[in-house]
Amino acid sequence: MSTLDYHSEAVKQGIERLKLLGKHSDVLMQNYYGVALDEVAVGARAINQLLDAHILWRPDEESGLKLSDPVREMIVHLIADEQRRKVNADIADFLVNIRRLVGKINEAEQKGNYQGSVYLQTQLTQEVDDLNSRIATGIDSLWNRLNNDFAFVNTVQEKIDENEKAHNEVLRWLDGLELINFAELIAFAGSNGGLRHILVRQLQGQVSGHFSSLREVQSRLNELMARFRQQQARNLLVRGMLQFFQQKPNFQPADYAQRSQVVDLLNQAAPLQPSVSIALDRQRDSQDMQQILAQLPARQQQDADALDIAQPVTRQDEAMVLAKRRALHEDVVSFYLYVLDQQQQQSALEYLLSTELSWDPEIWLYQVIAEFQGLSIAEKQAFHLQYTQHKAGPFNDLQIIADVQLQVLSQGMRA
Amino acid sequence: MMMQHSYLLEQLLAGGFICEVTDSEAFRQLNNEDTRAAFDQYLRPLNRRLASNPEGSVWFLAWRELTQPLREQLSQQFKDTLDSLIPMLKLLQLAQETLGHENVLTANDILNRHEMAARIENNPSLREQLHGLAQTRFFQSQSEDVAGQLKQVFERLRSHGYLHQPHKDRHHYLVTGKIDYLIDLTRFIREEENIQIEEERVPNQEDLLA
Repeated sequence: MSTLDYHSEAVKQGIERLKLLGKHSDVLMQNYYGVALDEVAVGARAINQLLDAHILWRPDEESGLKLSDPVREMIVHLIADEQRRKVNADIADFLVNIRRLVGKINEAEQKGNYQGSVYLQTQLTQEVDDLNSRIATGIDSLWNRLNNDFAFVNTVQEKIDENEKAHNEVLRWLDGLELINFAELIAFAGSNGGLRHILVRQLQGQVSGHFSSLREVQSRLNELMARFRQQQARNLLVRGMLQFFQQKPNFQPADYAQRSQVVDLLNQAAPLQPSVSIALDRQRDSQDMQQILAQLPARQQQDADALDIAQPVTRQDEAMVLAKRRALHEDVVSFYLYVLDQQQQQSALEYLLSTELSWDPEIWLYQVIAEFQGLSIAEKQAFHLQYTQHKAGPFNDLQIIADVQLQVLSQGMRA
Repeated sequence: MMMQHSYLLEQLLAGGFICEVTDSEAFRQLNNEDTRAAFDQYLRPLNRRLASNPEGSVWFLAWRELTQPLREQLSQQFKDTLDSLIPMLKLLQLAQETLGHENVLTANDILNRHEMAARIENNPSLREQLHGLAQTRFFQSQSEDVAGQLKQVFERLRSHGYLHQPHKDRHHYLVTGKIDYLIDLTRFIREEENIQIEEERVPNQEDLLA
């Protein structure tokens, strides 16, 4: 209790409305026993408060104020009004009550006791409202359960059980409503305008409304039930089949496609990729085709060449590449030996030209430089490699090597 | 008449499954008997016709007349489907456990890949299940982590038409009617092979001892 916030709106409102019940207990109890509520005596402000608190309600424009169903229910419980509880519970009992009241009303009117008749008619109205709100509440509760798919229970099986319960409830209501025989009620009312209004216009309209509501609920329940059962079957199927496959890993079903009748589930036509092509034989399209053809950008010759060159390279195998690389290496070593023999500065490109080797000049230079870089420090000191290079452009400091000069040094000195 | 359906026809001819999730408009059109008759008429020279699962929640193309080579193709296709059946059923179970759903995935269910990955990440048992699933021939993931494995699983499901991704750059996927087809096929096998399924949720002692 200590956690309850006494200042919260809900608590304040609850206290206020319970007080309201106490304040107007006299009038409310009189109304419970069928005395019409004198709105003027109670006062407009109090009436509004009672209406706001859902203690009273007004069934329609013409009729007076009535106790709301929960309040009536509460009073029934508080005073253990068995008589009324029964009436509320069963339409059959309600009908017995109606018949009794109608009999009394007719009797009173025959005796000329019109005041008594008016009093009894109020009671009758109350009975009809009672029944009406009772059914309406029942249907509301059914809709609530339907609209959240019975989310108040967890498993599908529980939902199925709840659905069945709800279904029985609908059937009970429908059976009950069937008991109301309007031909009988019309006969009861006879020429009495007041009774006709209550029993025929009011009750009949309400009951037919309830009938269609209940039918709607019933069909929705059936739909839901079918869905629940389907879900349950699916769950079971997936779980069961997995279990089966685990127990029998080598299971092979029959070859259903070889049967005389193949079910659609197994008859799935092979994919066919739809494609379009120009119908060259359609003379009337030739003009358009020519135009389209003319608009096609010309294929660049270069591209075709590049493709021709690229292909042999990609086809070269590892061994070929290695052999070529080794040959290049050996030719460069020969160049170094030549320089060593000559004992003088030698341009790498001039050597390439003079020996008529078939290497690409760029690759050749690259290999000469690489070979120099690959020498040990002691060997490196015996040679000097001089780059003949120039800037890539006036504003570009990138140095482009045009040639290299190799020179043999004696005792670390440049010649 | 068929011009307006050219896109739908292409989808069907390419082996597509049409359901309310993949293409609601096309599905609506296929629910019209006249449209279906027109399709069948058009497909006749291609030896194809429209077919659906028993509930009619998913449409595809079937052979009109079966010849022996076509039967061979169907046998092979059925074999392929069977290979994917166990991983798919396991996936359904994994999704159900991961999301805490009381029911097996069904058309229109929404899956969020990131959310699923996060949940699986935090649960060793689910992680193990996913790992086993990712390594099957059907899903074939090389990835070691949950996010990567799940990504591959979702990609395979999407390419096989079991999932529909409404927005390429988002991680929401919708389960398509092809799942219904798979379940129907499973049910068919069960019925044909007369496989008994235990109603019992928990295996009893006798089963455990066996």
